[in-house]
Amino acid sequence: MSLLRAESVWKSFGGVQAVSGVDFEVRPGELACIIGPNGAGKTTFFNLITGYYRPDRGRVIFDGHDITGLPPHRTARVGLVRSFQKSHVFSEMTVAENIRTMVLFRKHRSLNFLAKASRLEREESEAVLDMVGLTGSTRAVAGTLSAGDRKRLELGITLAAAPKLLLLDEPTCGMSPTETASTIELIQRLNQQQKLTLLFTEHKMDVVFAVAERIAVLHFGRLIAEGKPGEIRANEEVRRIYLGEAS
Amino acid sequence: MILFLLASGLTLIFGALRVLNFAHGSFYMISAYLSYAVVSTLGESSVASFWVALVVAPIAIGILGGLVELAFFRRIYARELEYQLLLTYGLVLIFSDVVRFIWGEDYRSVSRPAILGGRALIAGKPVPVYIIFLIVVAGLIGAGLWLLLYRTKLGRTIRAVVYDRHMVAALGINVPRMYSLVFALGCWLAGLAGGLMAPMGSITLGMDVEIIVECFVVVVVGGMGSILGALLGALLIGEIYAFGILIVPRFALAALFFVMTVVLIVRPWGLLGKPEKERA
Amino acid sequence: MARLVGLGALVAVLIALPAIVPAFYVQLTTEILVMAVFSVATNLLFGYAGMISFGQAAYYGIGAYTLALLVMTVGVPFAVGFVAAPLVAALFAAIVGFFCVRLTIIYFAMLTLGFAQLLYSIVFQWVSVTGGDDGLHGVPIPDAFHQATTYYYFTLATTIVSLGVMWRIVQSPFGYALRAIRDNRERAEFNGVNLRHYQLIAFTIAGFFCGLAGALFVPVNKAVFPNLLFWSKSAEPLFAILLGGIRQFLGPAVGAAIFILLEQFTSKFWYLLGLKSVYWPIVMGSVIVILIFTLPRGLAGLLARVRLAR
Repeated sequence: MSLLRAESVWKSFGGVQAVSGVDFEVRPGELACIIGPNGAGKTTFFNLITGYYRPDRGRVIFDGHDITGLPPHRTARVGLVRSFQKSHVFSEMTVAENIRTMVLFRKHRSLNFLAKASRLEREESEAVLDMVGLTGSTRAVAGTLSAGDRKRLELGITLAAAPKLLLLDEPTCGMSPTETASTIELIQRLNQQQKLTLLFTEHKMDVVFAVAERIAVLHFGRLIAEGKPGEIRANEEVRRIYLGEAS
Repeated sequence: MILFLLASGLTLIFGALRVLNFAHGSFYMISAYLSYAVVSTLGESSVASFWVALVVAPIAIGILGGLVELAFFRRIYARELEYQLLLTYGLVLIFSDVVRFIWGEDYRSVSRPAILGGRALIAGKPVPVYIIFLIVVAGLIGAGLWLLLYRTKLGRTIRAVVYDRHMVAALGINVPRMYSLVFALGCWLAGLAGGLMAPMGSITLGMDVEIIVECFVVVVVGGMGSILGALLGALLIGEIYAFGILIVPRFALAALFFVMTVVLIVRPWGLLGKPEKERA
Repeated sequence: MARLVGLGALVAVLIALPAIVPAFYVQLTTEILVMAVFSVATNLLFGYAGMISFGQAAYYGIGAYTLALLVMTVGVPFAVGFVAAPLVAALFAAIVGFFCVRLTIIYFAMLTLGFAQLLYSIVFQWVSVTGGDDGLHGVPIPDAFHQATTYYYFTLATTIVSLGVMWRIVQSPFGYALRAIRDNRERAEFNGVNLRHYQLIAFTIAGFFCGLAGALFVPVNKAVFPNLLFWSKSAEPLFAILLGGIRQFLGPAVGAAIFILLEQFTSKFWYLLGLKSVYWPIVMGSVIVILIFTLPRGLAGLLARVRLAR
């Protein structure tokens, strides 16, 4: 039983094959990671799953639904939510408003035109803020936050959507070592305590091997290896790509 | 054909600078008035006056456009889109009043030079010579634009700027100068359209917005940023407009919008345009 | 709290106004109130939803024409026409919006202008119904409204209610969703928000209040004319928004007041200069351009900066 299954997904841009027939699945409750050198097609793969692009060929099945080529707002509705490499937050709203807006939306209350939003869904919004560690700066305007806090805020926004599967595109990108450590800790906590299924991409290999239960390696748009961290570490092709070892 | 010249200028500027210029119609209007001014100064009877106007007015508009780019647009590329749009909108207001101040509210007209005045028989039907002249000029300009963009070093640079302005800047090309140049070229096209339009009908206030709305329809139908799209859109719109006038004279504009909405529903990025997302 | 007191004081002054100033200024204030509704409604789109519409005059004009036509041609009571006007405007906005919200900012701006000009040309050319260029004169209005003060109070009450409702909308979960879309379309979309639905609803609401402003304007002149739909009319609320401040709810209302006063002042000024025509658009255009380069957040933004500096 898999939560997300990509069946030989293909995508090319003007003759450049960005993703070539990738088969991949994510099982419920796991913490999986996709790695690969720059330009390997990690972000494109995310874009294909979440409906940003439509695959040229192949199917994407999520939680029993065929979501191939569905627009992003539909894929999000079925519980597939992602973050972006370059953080996307609601920059002119405060931290609290960022979270509250999306909590309200998920609870189908956003078509309420006359209630005072700041009085609604306080507890749940605060729970999310607490989880990502932003309770200290609820009144700060999102655009003025540091890069690390912005990342965390976006993580909070995605959590507000109550995802079944959370896709994180380089969640520690641009973070200091301390921030990275706390983010890793948060990801693990979400996975273990909230039983949230997570799939992320990452450049920092120490992070990947410390956290991921399963690792997939993309190279030039192909899935070249998949397995437990130990297996990946031992995989010859992976070693060749990353270490330039002669085979 | 007039529409083609205008729309290609608009789409050229949009393609290269990512700025939608509402004031494009104003440049067209000013050029028509300038032509009128030149012709009436040199005297209606003078054979050369029309030709002088046709050369002088577009060049003046090109220079004016370049100056406007230097003075205003250059400072605003990095700002939000909304402010760029508002800026061009403000310019429309200013230009229309300046024209009203100089030339007043009366209709003006320019007579066609004798050579282009008559009708020629084509396939047994009389066609005004001026129309043939227009088609020839527009064809020449279209071909010239194509040559410029695809067969010269300058054209290659312009297309490179469209593709990736930061990279081009890093390669040591003076991007701001390219911008001014493209802007001036686009305005020159608008000026040419205005000069060519002058002998066709009356020159009035309000022709700026009238034409810019038609232009929008053309670029929406043809696809933003595509010169070939501008040509296709202009032809299509011209035909529909002509037929529309025959059938329901009052609501020809409504027919245009009907076509545009159909295109928008089927292909939101226009017939020959590319979807914004796939470009990223 | 201080804000509430300030607002209360403003309302008190507005209520007392007819007792203080001559009738001419009461009429002028009526116009300011109408313009304030028009501008704040337009800013619902521009400032809160990040949608820049260059064609809001269409809904203003439709509101005015609906009232005039219903009362004059169909012969319904004024009150019925007045209620119908914003609804019809909202209906038109919903239809036009259906097409416009499919597009990104630039196309959206183009299309809103295009559709507005289309509606303008229909009103202009459909002489048998709309009176064409001349418009419709002598719209019958209730006897009480012939008195400037009575109509002033009616307008004041309508304005306060309208602004109050719009304020609630801005503070509501829906308003939050709009601001989220404005700030980051992608983030909202990838959280499941269907952008088009929200933008279409916003466009319809704005159309409703623009139509209401248009209907409010009818008794001021007792006439309607095609220029109410013209593109330069659409520039007026944008001007007020830029002047007053895009991110402040009442900024555009302040801008509207300055707009009307400035218009009065300039027409006198041109007259003193001995010019026959009134060159008003050039003033408006120049101020827009200057504001863009100097005060992109309007007077409210300037105030905020001064406060910060202190």
